[in-house]
Amino acid sequence: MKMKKAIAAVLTLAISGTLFTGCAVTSDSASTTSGTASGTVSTAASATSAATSAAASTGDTAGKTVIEFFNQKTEIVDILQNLISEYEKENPTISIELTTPTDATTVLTSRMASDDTPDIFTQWPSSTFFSEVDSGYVMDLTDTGIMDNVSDVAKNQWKHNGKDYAAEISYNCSGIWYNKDLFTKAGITTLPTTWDELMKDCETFKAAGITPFEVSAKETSITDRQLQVFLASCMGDNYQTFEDAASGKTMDSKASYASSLQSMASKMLQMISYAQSDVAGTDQDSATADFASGKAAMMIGGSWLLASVTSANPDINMAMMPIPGDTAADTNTCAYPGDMTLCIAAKSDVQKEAVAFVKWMTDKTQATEYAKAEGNPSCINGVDYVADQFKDLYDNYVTTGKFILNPDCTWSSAQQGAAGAAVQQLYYDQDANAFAENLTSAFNDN
Amino acid sequence: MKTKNKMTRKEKILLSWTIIPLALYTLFFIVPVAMGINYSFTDWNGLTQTYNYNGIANFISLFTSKRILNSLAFTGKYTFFLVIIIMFLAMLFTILLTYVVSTRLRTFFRSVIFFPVVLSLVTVGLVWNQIMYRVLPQLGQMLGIGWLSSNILGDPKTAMWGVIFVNVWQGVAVPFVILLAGIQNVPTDLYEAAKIDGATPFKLFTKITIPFLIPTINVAFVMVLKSGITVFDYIQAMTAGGPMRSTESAGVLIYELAFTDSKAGQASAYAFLLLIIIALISVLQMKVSSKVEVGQL
Amino acid sequence: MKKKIPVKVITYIFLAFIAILVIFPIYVTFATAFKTTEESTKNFFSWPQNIYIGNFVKVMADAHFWDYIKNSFLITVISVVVTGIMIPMVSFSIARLMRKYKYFKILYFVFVLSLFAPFQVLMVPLTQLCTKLGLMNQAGIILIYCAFALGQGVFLFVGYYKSIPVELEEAAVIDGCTTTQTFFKIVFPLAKPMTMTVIILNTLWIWNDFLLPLLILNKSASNWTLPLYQYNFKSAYTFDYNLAFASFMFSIVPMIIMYICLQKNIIEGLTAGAVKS
Repeated sequence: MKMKKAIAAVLTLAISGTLFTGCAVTSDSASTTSGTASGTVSTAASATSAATSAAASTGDTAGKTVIEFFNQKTEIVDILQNLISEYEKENPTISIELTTPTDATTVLTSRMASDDTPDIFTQWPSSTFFSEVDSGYVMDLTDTGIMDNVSDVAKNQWKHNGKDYAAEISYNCSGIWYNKDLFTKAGITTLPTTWDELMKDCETFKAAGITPFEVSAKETSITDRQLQVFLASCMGDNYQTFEDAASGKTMDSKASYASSLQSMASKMLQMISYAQSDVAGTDQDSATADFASGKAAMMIGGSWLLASVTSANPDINMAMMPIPGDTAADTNTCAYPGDMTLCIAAKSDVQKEAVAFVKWMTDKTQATEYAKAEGNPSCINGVDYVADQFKDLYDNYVTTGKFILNPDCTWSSAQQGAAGAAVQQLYYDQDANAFAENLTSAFNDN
Repeated sequence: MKTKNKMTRKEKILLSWTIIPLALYTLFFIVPVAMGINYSFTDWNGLTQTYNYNGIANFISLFTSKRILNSLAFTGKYTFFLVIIIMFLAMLFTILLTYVVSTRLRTFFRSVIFFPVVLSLVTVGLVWNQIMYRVLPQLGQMLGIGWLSSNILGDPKTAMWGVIFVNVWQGVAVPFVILLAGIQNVPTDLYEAAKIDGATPFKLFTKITIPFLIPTINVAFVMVLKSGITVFDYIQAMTAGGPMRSTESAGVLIYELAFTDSKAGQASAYAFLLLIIIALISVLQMKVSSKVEVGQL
Repeated sequence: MKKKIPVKVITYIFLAFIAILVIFPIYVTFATAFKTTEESTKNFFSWPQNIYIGNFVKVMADAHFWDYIKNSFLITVISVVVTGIMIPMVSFSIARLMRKYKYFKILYFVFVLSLFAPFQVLMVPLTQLCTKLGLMNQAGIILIYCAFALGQGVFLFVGYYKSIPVELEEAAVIDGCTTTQTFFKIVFPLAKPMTMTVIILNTLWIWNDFLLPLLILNKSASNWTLPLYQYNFKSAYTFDYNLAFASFMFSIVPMIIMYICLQKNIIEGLTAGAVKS
């Protein structure tokens, strides 16, 4: 560290140095310029070196162990900050610096590539995550005691080579968000249990002058999420062969799952036909705002929308249901444990302290506090709080095992992007036959 | 060494002035570029500490990947239209403000045209995204214009124009001010003389104004060209390369390859190729412009 | 004379149209900053019914808000001052000696090349480099800006110096001035318009820059600049427009003040490499 600071100081000095040598022997007018210029630079040098020395600017961290907590989920900053303050009060020698940059994935990648992994970071279990593990950036949590409170169902989904690398805190569920008040307004009293019933309800909505679906297709990351929910709902017995082929880049547009893909694509197009007019031009921000203000009755999405929608309209009366299958019996939803997971850097200087904090976070008390503030079902044993919006879905599908892990958990991020673009293509040229072909090349070429 | 011995004292001092900039430049530009070039010969995924050299495989893949070729073509098309539109508008504003608009209103319109450039791109992107989503379609429906009736950023046929529009909206300011300043340096006595000779306003413009403006146009042109070829943030803010990857520029794709697709090696190779193309264009441009300038002198 | 009136009319109609195109988005920015989220959700473009300053209060309530302001100012001012002196000097060397020595000619081309380099590919190497050198902080980013500003600066200055007659310098030398004195007494004041240009362009760029601070200053929120804070109102699925736009005010206002102060210089200054006497 000393070495690094020295280099920084030398470089800064070097700059101010040139200014001096450049201007030292000049006449009146020029020397005033040089005076002010070098003055500013030296203030700068001291200011910046102050900022370099740990977190001097935050003031009260002297003598404390500082842990960097790199959070990728913007929507939970306040919840985390509250928990951290609580922890810091209980442990006066610890200071936890929470950072939540935008484009967090880009930042985390570049930090890891520089071998400078943050002490604690949130992550979504995915193929990217496993390559981070394989690159040796993530600490093995198996024997740290952190995993003691994490439920076995959650833990087992994300074991890698038989070991635990991520402490799952909460579930992520996806399905159809629906506005209860609009259902009542249109006179629909029971939720649809089959796809045909859903379509009938859409007609009812239309007749009542309510837009049935709000769909956003401007961003591939969002169309990819829509695909997740439909895949989980529509692939039936073909799901596993499809999933293996997709993540293994051996998709075949003639295989048995192709016809399921095609019928799924027609269902997606049916949804589009009941959506607002400008699907391709609607981004998720606008869709969220429109759904929140009651412009449409339903929207495909995941738990991640809860905070955004309720912040735009705190009074909205909404809940989540699965996309109904062809029959009520083969209705599946889409979920995964690990919407929020905590990981620790393999090379952290403060690993012991980081482990203690993460263990504290997985404690029943804190996990309950988190669940109540955030709303998602918890992965921690003994936490039985479930927000109203998820209650039916959780009781009827998640706890009974009638859910499929988000298919893209095993895809590479390149495949996710390409699959999202294939869905955009589907919405654009409305060609369900071409969709299987497009999806095939999306998976095999990436 | 030979040249150094011949150098005068003055030249040595001037030489010393280049040391710090060159050192800074080497450390923060040449070294990273060299690292990037090194990566372009590897299979690096952008994450690991280790990688394998794979020869020129990345460079070959550039010419076989449809996505990369598409992005090159898009960048070319985008730059072409951007340069033409910005240069035309900047020129038009300059002429109107110099010759037509009354002095009182000049400052006002100058400020108006310059103003967008002080806004950060996130502001510009947000506002225009909302306008294109909520206002323009209504306008299109009212006027019965088919392509304008839905968000133009949502259709692959029109998305590029949406991005170009926003880029022009903000990007015309600097070339405009450069040209405006340049036109003020055209010596007025030449106009007087030519008018006495009976030259038409059009002739005055093409024979006197334009030749005097050429070095200025040159500067403005290079700056717009640069912003077109390396376009990244406007696209990221408006369409993120979509819909269906129809607005993926070279810059956007390099970013995607490096950070989303875990193909940092290929991304570096692409950037290297782009740098070579750009170097060729700039050498060509400088050759042409120096000829024009010599002609001027 | 009769013919000229339609031209004028068309011109004014056209320029008025342009003015609306420019002013409307700016109106939206201001209006949104003074509205509540619910009001914006109902109608994004309306004028606020009640002027709501809660957004500003919330924006400023961030624990590090004054750090962002301070960082943005420090980084912009220092980088701009340093480049405002360094670039004129190095460009002067290049302009005067590039015809005589290959070194300066190559230097020119090497600097100008960076004007065109796609920044995206430098992102990871730069982060790696700064991590190794311990420069993931404000000092690091200032050094990087100084390096990156060279391309455009040298390009603009070298062209400009060609227009300043060498005779003036020779006269100063005869009067007994050293090279450094000559530069600061004669050349630097003459180049003031160009210096202003470079200062304005660099200020706008550095003040509003997002990607570089994102990569270099992410280690602690106390290192952030204003644009990082502003982008932070965007989560993946929603955007808090009201807070974001309120926070934009804090970065727009200083730039407007700069524009008003330097208005004259912008026109004089951006005379740019063009002045050919």
